[in-house]
Amino acid sequence: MIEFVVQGLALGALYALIAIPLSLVWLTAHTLDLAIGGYAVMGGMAFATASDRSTGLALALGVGALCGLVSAALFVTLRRLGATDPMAPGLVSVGVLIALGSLAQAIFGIDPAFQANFEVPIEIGGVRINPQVFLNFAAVAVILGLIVVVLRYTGLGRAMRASAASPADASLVGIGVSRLQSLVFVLGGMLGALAGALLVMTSGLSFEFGLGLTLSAIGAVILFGLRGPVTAVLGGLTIGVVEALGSGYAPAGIGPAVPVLFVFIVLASGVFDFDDRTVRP
Amino acid sequence: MKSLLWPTVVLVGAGLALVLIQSDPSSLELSRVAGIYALLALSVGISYGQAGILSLGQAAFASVGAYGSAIVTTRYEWNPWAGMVLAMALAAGLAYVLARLLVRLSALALALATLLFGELVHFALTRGGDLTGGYIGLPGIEAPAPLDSREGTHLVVWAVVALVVLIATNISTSAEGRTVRGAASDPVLAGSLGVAVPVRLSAVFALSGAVAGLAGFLFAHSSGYLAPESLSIEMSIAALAMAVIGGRYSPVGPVVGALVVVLALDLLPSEDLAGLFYGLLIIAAIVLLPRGLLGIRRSTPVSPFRKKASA
Repeated sequence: MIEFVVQGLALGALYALIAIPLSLVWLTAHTLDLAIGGYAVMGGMAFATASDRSTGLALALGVGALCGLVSAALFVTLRRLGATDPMAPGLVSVGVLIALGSLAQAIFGIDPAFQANFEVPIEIGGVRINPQVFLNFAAVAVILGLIVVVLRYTGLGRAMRASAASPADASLVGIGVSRLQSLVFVLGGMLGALAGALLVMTSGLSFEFGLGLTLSAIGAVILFGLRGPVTAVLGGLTIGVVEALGSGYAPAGIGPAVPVLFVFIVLASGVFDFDDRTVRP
Repeated sequence: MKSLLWPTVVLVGAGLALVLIQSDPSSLELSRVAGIYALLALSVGISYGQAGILSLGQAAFASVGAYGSAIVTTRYEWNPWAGMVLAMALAAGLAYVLARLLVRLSALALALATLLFGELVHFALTRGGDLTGGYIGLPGIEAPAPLDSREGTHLVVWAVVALVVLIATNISTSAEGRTVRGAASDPVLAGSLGVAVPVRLSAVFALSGAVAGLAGFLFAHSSGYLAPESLSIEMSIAALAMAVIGGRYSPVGPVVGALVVVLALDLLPSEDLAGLFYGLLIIAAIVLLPRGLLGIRRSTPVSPFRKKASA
């Protein structure tokens, strides 16, 4: 039981890592970047091709930033063309997701990548734990801490919060709103890639994981309401644990479907909705 | 009789195409694929263009219909045409229930929910054990009379496309169609006028599900096998891209989109790149044809009638 929870937390930390930028994109750009799982796949597969960890990480972050840049450019173009609803950029990001998955298959092949960091699990109080969990947690904690500090205490964070509250007013007081939104997309690309690299070390990654990762991340951000990075992290951890318990206790084979079902029920229940301005009957 | 124009064009075009390509199996195969995609794109056109429900799970309805028919014909020896009715009924029923559940959500949440639904169907099919044949799928699906030859399949598929175009035309010009578009564009106003908004929108979504189920039936019984990947999420995305490219408000737009995309895809060097192609296609369709997506709610319900009034 505890082993499942720990394993779930290891995965959940990675979901949290990709849910953070998703929530930031929603706050500053008012859309969902569904390509986030694609960044993770590209970044993770790029990481796995490198001969050592640090080059791999640099490569992953570069690839992720590049993907994020493409999404940012598409988003800004759509906004320039006058798309104000979250739908158009959301759909474009689905296109990016599908394209990145296919690209990853073409470049890196169909073999899954798995490079465990630690051969032997350590034992704490009779529970066998893969030390990778602590690494994943450290990554999430550091990044969440950095982002919260930046958001709360710096001029950049103030500008981001201002653009989130009201893009029009923010641009009136001289904040480069589209530049900030682009920055968030690029950050999303890099964090996605980092999560992909960590996933390669945790449980493995293959080119077809993109959609599943995106769905888990969406589940993470909507679970406790789209309020910000902290709730996104909590949501990510919860989804990870639900998935691990699902694969541990649900009848064989349906484990991976549990988080999808979970998110579907959250959405269908209507507890949470993306756009309160156009509520349908 | 204007509504007969496009179906006639489709039928005549299919007949002429048959004369041209009847001795060429690969062209006939391409036409079969294009026709099935056209049906799937038409189902997107009906749900998205009319009811404003953007579905990223249309292939899931096709899958449900295809599997339903394949299972009853291979395991319980049903007549394939009874299987066809079952395929449409299953898909329509599922679509209706899903729409009733989800239609109150915002557009983005609704689209996401259909995507998740598609994933759930895919999971169910891959883990259905003996019933669905798991990852391997179902081989040996019977091809009833006209579907057992390439020429027959070509004609049947395109005749069905023409029929669906006719239905779509009638819907978009009928009072029912106006009601639905009104309900989609301003649910509150439509509701205050006495329109049962969720029921009307769900009924249109059910029709779109039935069309997708029919596409799935034709696919299963003309190819003879079925796997979870046959009607995958990429196909949902592709159908959406086709409908957007061809013009989802025009009854014949999705057919044009399907033809263009399938013919272009045929020129691609490798099947592995299909996902990349669909992805770029949908990006291009939305960025380059932005008018389509921007004011779905604002511009669509009015424009068809304005054209009519001025004509």
